[in-house]
Amino acid sequence: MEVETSLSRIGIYQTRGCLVVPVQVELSDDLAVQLQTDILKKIEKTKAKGLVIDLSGVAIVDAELGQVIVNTARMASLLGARTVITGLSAGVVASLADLDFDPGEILTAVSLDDGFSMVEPLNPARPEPEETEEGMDEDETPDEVEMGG
Amino acid sequence: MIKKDCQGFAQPEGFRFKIADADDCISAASEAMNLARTAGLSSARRSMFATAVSELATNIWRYAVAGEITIRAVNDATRKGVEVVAEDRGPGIADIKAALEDGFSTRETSLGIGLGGVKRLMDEFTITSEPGTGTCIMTRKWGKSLQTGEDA
Repeated sequence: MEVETSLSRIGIYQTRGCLVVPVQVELSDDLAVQLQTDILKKIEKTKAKGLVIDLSGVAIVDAELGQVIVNTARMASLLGARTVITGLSAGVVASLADLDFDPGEILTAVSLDDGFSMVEPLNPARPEPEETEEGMDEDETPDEVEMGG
Repeated sequence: MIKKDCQGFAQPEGFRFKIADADDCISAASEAMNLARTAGLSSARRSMFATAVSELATNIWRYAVAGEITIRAVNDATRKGVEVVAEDRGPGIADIKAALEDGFSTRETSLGIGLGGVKRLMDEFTITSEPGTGTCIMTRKWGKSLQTGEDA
């Protein structure tokens, strides 16, 4: 596992073909924008195909920060890294709902493990954008099961 | 003028933050989180209170010349809670009713998610504003009942 501390002082870890960003401090808008830049540079450098941003240590996400996070996910996807946001707490999502915040089409997962399985490039369970639902192919086309096994 | 209107709310024992940059906003919001924990609010309510503080602080930072955030613990006869007072010497709001509707902002650069959201996050919401003078917002989030220990 390669570790690199970015200018934002938040570690960006490279593992299993993905980048993982565990955020364990409350993010100011400035810090979030710095982190966004660091993440995008790191994707460019590593050609990572997956990005997991874990916000389990974050309790305060206002509308502006939410927008920076969603934009980061969108930009990372454009750079070829499928992105998932993990660890949003009930309080954070309740707040974003009250703020009438539109999260767009970003992927989210409760746990880090679930997040990984959604974006890991070598994971057969990683859903492709064309597929309607994860696991559907296994039931319907036996060939896929053999290839997966 | 606005200052005087706010005196009933902003008590000296609260934490007062001058809001001048993004770090001030997160300082106020983080301290709001701590205060709400001390006051016994549930973790979801703590997040909602701190998010409201963050929104109010960000509004001051972005749209007012200068302003302060004051947070403090409050209680009435039956409940414990937390309060935030946001005072600024910004452009003021001429039509408060419109400002509380979603999509309204006094400047085009704003995200258009504003006071209506803060009002929904909180349990009590009071606003006074005068164009050219500034705005004062007092809002509270209640936590556990003093008698039953249940969320109010």
